[in-house]
Amino acid sequence: MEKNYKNKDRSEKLRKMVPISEDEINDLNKLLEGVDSAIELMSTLVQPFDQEIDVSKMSSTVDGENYD
Amino acid sequence: MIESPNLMSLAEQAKLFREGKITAVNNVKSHLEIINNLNPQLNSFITVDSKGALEQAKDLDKSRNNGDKLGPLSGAILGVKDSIPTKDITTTNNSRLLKNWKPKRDASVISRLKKAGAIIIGKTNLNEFGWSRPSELDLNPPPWSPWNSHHMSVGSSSGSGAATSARMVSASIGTDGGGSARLPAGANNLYGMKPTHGLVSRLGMDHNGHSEISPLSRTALDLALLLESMSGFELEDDMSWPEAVPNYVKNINKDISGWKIGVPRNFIDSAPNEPEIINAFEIFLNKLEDLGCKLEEIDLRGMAEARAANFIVLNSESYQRHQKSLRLHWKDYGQITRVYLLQGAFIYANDMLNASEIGRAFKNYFSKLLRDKEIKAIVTPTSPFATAERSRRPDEHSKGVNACYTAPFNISGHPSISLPAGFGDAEIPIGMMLTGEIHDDSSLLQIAHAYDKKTEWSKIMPKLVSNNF
Repeated sequence: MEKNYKNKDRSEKLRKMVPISEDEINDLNKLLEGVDSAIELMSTLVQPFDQEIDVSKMSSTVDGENYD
Repeated sequence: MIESPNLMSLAEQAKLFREGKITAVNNVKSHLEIINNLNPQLNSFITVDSKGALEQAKDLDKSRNNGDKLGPLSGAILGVKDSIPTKDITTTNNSRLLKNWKPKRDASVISRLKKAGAIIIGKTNLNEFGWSRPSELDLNPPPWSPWNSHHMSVGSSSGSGAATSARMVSASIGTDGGGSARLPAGANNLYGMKPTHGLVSRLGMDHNGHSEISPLSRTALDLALLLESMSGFELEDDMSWPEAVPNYVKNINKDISGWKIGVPRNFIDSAPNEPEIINAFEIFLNKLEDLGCKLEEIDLRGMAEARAANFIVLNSESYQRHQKSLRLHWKDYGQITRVYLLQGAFIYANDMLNASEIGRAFKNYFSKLLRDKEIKAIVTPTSPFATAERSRRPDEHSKGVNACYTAPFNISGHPSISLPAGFGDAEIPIGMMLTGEIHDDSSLLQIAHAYDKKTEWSKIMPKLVSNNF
């Protein structure tokens, strides 16, 4: 559900920006899944104010998993 | 009788030129002949500057005959990725937007290469703006692999890799923002190096913050010659390294026995490596041991987060530079490129800052790992995939898995080199990668040179090419 809302918002923003086709919007939404995954993965490392990234908590696999 | 210069390394061509055994004009002509034979089929070049190359060659021949001092690359023939501006040679970025752009100045790296005596024979093909994926809808159709003409050449420095392995040039210059020079080097039986961030200035060209100008060559010694000529401080570039360029060539014959090489086995095992890649990796490890290196398994962390951070930065910076043009010239962009570029419209300042912070943390972590373990370099495959097509399965490309080994070291800035390491089932070459400490590019070149001397990969060329001689 949340994904559909996100895609709808994005589609509206895109149509205002450039003369993009519906097919292109669909292609872009698929690509944006990669962007969303990257942002989500990064957020696991971001720390509260005045704390640094704890490198020992960084992932050990290509998919960003940690098997410790 | 001297064999065709095309079959020799850049270092050998330059040596014969210095000794007066070949002329620069004849070297250009023999390379133009191969370009004329193969480029219609391979699309490695967008622009071939025959006239300009012959003029440069005539000047060089005259200088040599006058007894003038010659540069280390004198007589060598280079192809340059068409994203790097070259004075008076059309620089299209493979885009309709720039199809007629003739820069008024060379990028600083081109000035340095010319000063070293290199002859620029033309501009090599790439994905539009070095971005997205190869498409028949770009200004020029994509390059094909000289090793198997049913397969595309791996990009984005796809024309640079293909032209070098097809002996159309002595060596080439690409760019690497997430693996775009190391990946085509690996897929073309070449040595390709992303230098330490700041070593080769990007002054005078459009670039992403973590994209480096990177040489691709048939031998490790050629790579050292190129890197030494390309490097150096540029006052107007605030990211340029303000130190003297090390003597990469003079120091290349180092005894590497006893050097420790880290093997991040657990991370490698987690990647979707194809069987051909793993077979080549094990053989490569054995070769390193034969050279006297000591292998040590290490626990490598944060590769996925660093790749994600690099992906965010690349997307955001690319969109930032194109946002105005996308609105004004939407129809002039390739249909695939313009969609790829729009990804950055949905990345926010906070995401960029997080990416930068993660990049810095990974950089410090990786340098400390090398120091603490007293490791000269870590070893991984260059790509988990053995062909360009397999690396572009839509589901995987969106996550950048094809760059899982390369991209983390773009955001960290560490030097990284791809070495030839065999062939996959499709008879397309496979690369293995070494990554070392910031500004220790020398050690990587020394390992690569020791490996080059003990292996035969440099001598193997595509059948398509050998049939021409």
